[in-house]
Amino acid sequence: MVKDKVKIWYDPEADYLEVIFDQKPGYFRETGSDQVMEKVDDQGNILGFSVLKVSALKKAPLEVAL
Amino acid sequence: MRLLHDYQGVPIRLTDERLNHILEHPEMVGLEGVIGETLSQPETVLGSISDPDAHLYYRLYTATLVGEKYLCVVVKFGQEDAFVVTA
Repeated sequence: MVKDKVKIWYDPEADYLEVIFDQKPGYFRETGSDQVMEKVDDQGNILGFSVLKVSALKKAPLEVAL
Repeated sequence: MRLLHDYQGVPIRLTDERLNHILEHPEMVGLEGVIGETLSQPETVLGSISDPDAHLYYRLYTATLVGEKYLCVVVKFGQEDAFVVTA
């Protein structure tokens, strides 16, 4: 049985992580954290998220509502 | 690899790998040219709070696949040079 695919992109030089659940057209919008953006479709459904400065998570966990 | 310039003339590197990744997003297909335009003619440039080395360049586009939206190009200013992180 084929399951939904999750696409994970990590760019070590940029220290940037992107996780996409659904490869549909959408746009990134701000969350409660400047470090995290959520990608949504025109209905507001979550398509994925991105994290800037991932290495900062070594100091403390990051919790954001999507 | 492309070398773009921002509104202050600062050279900004855009690697093929990052550009290919950006263009994998369906809403960015065909919008390669607006990345450089947003850097050279931004409406707003903001510094990231969480990453002092990152700056966000914004420019409004009215006819995208997802309607009227601001394109945000994230640029990181490293020790060697500046480069596009994503858009």
